[in-house]
Amino acid sequence: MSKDIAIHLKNITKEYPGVVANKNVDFQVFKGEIHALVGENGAGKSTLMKILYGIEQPDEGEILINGELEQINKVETAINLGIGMVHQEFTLVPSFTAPENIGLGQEPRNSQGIIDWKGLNKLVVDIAEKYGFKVDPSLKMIDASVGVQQRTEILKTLYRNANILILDEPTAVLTPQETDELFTVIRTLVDEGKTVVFITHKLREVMEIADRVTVMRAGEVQGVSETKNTSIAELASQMVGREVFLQVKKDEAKPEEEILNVEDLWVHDARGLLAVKGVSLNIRKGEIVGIAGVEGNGQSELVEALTGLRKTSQGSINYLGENIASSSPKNIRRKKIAHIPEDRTNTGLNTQLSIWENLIGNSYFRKPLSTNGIFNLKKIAMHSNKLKEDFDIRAPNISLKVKSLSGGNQQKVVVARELSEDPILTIASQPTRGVDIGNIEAIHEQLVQMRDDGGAVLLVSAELDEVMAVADRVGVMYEGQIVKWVNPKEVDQSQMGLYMAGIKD
Amino acid sequence: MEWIEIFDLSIFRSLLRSTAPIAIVGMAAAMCSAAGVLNIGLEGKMLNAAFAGVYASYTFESVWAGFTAGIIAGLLTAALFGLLSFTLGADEVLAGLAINIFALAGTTYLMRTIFGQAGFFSDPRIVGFEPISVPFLRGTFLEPFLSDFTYSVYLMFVLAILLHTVYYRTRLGTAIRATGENPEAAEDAGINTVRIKWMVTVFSGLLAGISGIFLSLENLTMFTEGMSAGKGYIGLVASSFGNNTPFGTFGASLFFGLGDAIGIRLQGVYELDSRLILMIPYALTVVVLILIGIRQRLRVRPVPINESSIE
Repeated sequence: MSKDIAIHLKNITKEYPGVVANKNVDFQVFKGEIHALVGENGAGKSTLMKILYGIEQPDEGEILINGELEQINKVETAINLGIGMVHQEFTLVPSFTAPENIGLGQEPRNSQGIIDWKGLNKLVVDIAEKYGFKVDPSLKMIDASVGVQQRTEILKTLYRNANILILDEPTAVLTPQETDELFTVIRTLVDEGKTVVFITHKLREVMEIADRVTVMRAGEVQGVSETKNTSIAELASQMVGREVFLQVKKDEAKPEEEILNVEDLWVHDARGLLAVKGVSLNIRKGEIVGIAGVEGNGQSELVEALTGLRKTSQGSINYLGENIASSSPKNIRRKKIAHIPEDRTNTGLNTQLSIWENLIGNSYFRKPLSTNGIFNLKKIAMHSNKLKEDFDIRAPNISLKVKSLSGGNQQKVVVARELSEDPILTIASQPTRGVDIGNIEAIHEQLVQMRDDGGAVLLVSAELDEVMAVADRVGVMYEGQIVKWVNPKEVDQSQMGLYMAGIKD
Repeated sequence: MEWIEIFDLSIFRSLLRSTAPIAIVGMAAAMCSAAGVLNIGLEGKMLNAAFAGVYASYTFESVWAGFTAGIIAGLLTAALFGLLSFTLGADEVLAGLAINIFALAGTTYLMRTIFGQAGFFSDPRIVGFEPISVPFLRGTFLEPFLSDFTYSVYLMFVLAILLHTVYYRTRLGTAIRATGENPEAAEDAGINTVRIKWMVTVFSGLLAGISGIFLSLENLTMFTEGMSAGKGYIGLVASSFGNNTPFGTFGASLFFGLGDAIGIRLQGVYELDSRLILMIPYALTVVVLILIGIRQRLRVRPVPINESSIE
């Protein structure tokens, strides 16, 4: 190869207590290319990029930027070297406008130190135009869409003269259409001479946008290839170490009587804005109903309303003929409704507590686990060990703190607890987020099993593949409404993308 | 008419005098809160400065010695707060409370051991600030309104304008606001948020110190146990009511000052119980806190379904 090398991470090793996050990693990016870095959660992609961006220091290894050996021990150094990073979690100040966020810390100012806001606005608009996107300099970020926020983040790096842009899972929060727009932006950036590192686990996107791809697994590089010489199947097998496709084995659903009937439900979000605007849906015994949509379109509030975590403003939630709207979570749980919440670490688990304490979170008060308010530790141990076995929670013992488990195993603790009480209705929200592929399969199988055993399941997920594969019927949510009901077997991804963007037929 | 008797020139002057200490410490609180530092310890900083000011003024028979000593006391107390909160990682509220309790007990103890006095200490040797006549106001119609105040009133106006400029028109100001709202975004922009927090804390020590000195060396020249009398807390409330902005805090402080001024005036007109009058600022604090609560409720008020627009 005669191409110039923009980034060369040489022989990087980084160890955290108990885990080797990066092991002798060698990572090269050519100048002016779009380079995808793929791998499952926990494969070490983020650690590697944190090392490149100066957030973490490697235990061993060297960093060469444009052929020069560099010591990047803080973010400032990385920025000065022309490296810009767009994090998965945006780092924007909500009450600031786009230019205020973009210029933060480096605003143009006169000799008295007074900031030239007009000059900054013009500068930002000019940069945006150069790379072919629009920016409204007076829009505060709190009122901006996710796509606009992301573009602001990209502009921020360009404002700081970044030549190398690292985008950490940029498409996770976007609709398919917004993703297309992002790809156009990325191509313009590369045309203008920038180098882009694109972190993702969506292989379809890699094939579409990247020139080359580096695959990581368990802290090591599994392979580097040009996208034109590889395939999704090959990349997938490198990622997981075996051939895996997201397919769920299941028979045709045999729905019976209605379990849940939601009618014209309206719910406000924490800011007091309407998040759910007149949703109606029903779920029958023996079926899985899916809710697809880009996150932030009211799915969270819908689930919170159904599980009693949020008051409803209007409408009814009829469960087995009884209106449970605005009822208490405990009351709702007593009626055998299980909830696998989207935020595993804050809502789903107390990560400071042990596995067994988490496993009995919904059943500790009943016999035989406790009598007269006193735990029967032997019974609890039997109960917990059985769940650990049944749900294949990989841990040496049940007294281990949940925080020391991997994401997938943590999620299995949640699933085990929720399904252990023989629910009639299971509400699963983003049940496989941050879970590795092997465990995703297991969780999907359990949801299908619930259905086949005569349960009703509501599956809310931002992963389109997941909803399409697992659910029997799918409602697409957009801006608080279900804009379309589809049979997942009868629509394709691009069709779904349009619905997810609020375009009805 | 009684009301006309109450609202006259003297109440305007009394309003500015009462507002100044609250506004100055309030703006200190505003800078801290804007940077995400909940600085409860302002009260203690004021008290330490008030005592140090009296002590130095008495010892050296110089008001500027008192001024310097008071500022040093304010800065040292601020440094202690910063050390506890940022360096040692203590809870900011607890660190602030500790400082306030320590200041109250410490100044009381020192007064009793150094001056052998309990309750209050007053002596002719303590030199206080004299009112200043503003040259360019002389002879104008504004002279009776704005001239011949002591420093604190003028400082309050200067500070409000200065801090407003810093807050909205300098890198430091945007850095402070970014640190308070989203520290990660600030760090990402290369802003050292810990340094910003230290800066606003030290600055608050300076302002609280100055405010404390004015308590003991301006209109009165004496030190009384616990003489800050909750002004640090009232300043915090004023800054919260003013959305942590300099002008907002100034406006909210005027509200407290007005209550104070009316109270003093009523005392003259109606011969009310002085203890009732002394309660006014604290009663107003409760009122303002309720108003803040109501304002927050209004902000998150659910949009009535019928009014909302659904395409």
